[in-house]
Amino acid sequence: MIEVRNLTKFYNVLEKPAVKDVSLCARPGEITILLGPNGAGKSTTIKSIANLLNYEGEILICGHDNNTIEAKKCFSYVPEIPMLYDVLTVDETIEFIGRAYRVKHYKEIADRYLEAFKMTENRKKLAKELSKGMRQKLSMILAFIIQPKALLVDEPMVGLDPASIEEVLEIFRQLRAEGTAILISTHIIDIVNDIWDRAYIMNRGEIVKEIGRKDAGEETLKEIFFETTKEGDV
Amino acid sequence: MNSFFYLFRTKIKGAVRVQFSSLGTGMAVIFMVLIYGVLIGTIFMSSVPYERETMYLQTATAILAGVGVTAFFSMLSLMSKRKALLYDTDAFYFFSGPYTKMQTNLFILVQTLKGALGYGLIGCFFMGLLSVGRYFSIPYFLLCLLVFFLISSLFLLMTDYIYMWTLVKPKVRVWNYIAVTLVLASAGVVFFLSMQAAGYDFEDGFFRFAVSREFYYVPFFGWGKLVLSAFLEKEHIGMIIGMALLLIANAVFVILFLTFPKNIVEQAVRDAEEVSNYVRRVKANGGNILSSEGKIKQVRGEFPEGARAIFYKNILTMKKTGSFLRKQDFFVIVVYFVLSYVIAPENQFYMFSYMMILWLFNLLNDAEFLGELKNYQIYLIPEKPLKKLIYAILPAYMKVSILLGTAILLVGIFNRMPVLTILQYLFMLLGYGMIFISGTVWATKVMKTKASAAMENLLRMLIILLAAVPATAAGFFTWMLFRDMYVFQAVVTIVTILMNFMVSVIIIVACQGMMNGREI
Repeated sequence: MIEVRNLTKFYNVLEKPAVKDVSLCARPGEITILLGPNGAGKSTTIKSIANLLNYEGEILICGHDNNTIEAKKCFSYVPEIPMLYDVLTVDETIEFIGRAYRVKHYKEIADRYLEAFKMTENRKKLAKELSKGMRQKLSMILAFIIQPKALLVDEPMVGLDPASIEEVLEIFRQLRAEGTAILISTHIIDIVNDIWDRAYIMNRGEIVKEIGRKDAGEETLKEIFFETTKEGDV
Repeated sequence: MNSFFYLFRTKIKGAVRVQFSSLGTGMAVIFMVLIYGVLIGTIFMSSVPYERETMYLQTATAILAGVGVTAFFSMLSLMSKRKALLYDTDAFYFFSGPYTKMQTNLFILVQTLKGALGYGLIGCFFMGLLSVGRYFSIPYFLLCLLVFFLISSLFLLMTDYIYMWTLVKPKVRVWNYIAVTLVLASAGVVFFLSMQAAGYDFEDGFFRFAVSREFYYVPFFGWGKLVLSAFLEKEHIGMIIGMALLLIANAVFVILFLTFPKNIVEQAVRDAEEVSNYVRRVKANGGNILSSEGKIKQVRGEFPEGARAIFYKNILTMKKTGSFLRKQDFFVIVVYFVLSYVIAPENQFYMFSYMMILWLFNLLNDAEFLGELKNYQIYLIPEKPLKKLIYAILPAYMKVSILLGTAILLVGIFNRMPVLTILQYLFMLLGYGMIFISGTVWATKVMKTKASAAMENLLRMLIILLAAVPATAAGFFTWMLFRDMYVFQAVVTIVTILMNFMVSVIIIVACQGMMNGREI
């Protein structure tokens, strides 16, 4: 479970906050979507939850403050731009993360995802030799091998081909079925239209609407979004 | 033409604006300008009238140093494998925009001259450093700048001109090597003749080489030296001849460059893109070439569990890229060894030791060296932050210690220094190594991902000052108690060494929280 209470983030104290008084909750076994136009504060919220930014407010992951080792043990984060170690191969990168996180069967788990992403032939390739999409997939595999109870994903589909997007969505469904709390930040609504359970719509640093799938009725997420933001930046 | 000037003006304004984009970077820039300003002011203020009898050898050596630095950069540009005429948006607009070939070439020419001025200033800076307390007046400086500028522009134009022909005929690339070989061979012949005249005594041979008139026959560089030496000796004919040769050579290449007959746009755009991307990656690495750009060795590594994996990963990266002992590290240490011998033959060990501090400064300005501190992956690893920080910086400190230790030991033995002196300087440098690394850690914590080389240097100096306070206080009390210079020096030395380590450790412990990520 990811709980965010009254999150406010200033990048510059003289300017408006990038995120203001945001509270949200991503529950186990649910896919929660953080939706909003460019500059709405989605990535700032995700980075704050991953403890990569200073902020005001309270963030709990699996009941622990996100600054603690206990919290770090139970979540993983997929950033918008993967930061990989250029001279390590795919296998070495996986081994490094698996061992650093003390994951017991990381090789078996990684094999499964490498297969799913059709990356088995690239195992010996250096990270710097991978295409943009491959880098994104490796970044996801690194997040998945930790077997997180909470998963933070920032714009996950950037650079992925349609087949890979389908594969990623399928993995999200599996993780949801296994009880993982998934929080996805995106501005591409169509991609998450079929998998969302709960959505928070952000605009200008604030959450302007929270809605559960059951409450949406016949309305699509896209319709709800446009009604709420009255903007076309999606 | 107006749009060209507008572009120039806007680019300069933009560059200045970036430097003052935040209070921190603005202060760092002002601080650096003040430091260099004071340094340059001191050089001019300490200038004394030129006296041939007492200064002939030193000024000739200083001229040679300036010429040498200019030659180094000139050769480097000729030998560089990655070349382009324009970079980034300039390339896009000029090659695709509504400009004639002459206009585009003119723009490139002005950029080249700007670069040459930069190299000229670097040459003057080195020359000035070797002239402190001797003759280095403002008119002499201006003449040096003009000469080094002309030499650099000549080589940069030659580089561009040969490059343009290689786009038409790739085999022409060999001209770069021919030009470098010709210059080096002619300088080598003069050096050999000087050594022969000195009976193969290195020191005497070097000084003969520095003052020899035969050096004037070395193309381009010899002409520059002729101008400067003739200025000092008030030999106006020599000055005119040297200057005329440099100007004519420049004019020839300007004409050749501006009237280049072939169409090379397609390949030039491709190279511009490639080199621009490369330069962007190098800039992101603090101006240093990324080790991952080179050949990656196939080395197999294993990772232990927990935070120790970070240490093993960094060691594996060093093994793969060969960055533990890079060619440039070895080259710089050798250059410092030679320089310290030339500058202070009687006290080479001490001079070399202090030069190694400069090496440390340069080494740690390499953003890649401690780049681990800015990668989010490490913050997310569920381990104690101090453990993560120690394992992240340990490989860097191991590299510094092993290289420093080996260099100091070898130079100490070469100079037959007492073991205690070698150890004293070794510990002093290891302490500075700790300070510099902790300075980078502190800068990363304070400046977050915006940490710049200038800011890191500023913080390093601050830490050195902090560490010097207790040593000064201890020295003061020792002096009050014993009134003995020997005891005073010993206490100050030991306390400084200890404090360097202690202050560094305190800073590292205090900064451990950054490895949790919240502060980055």
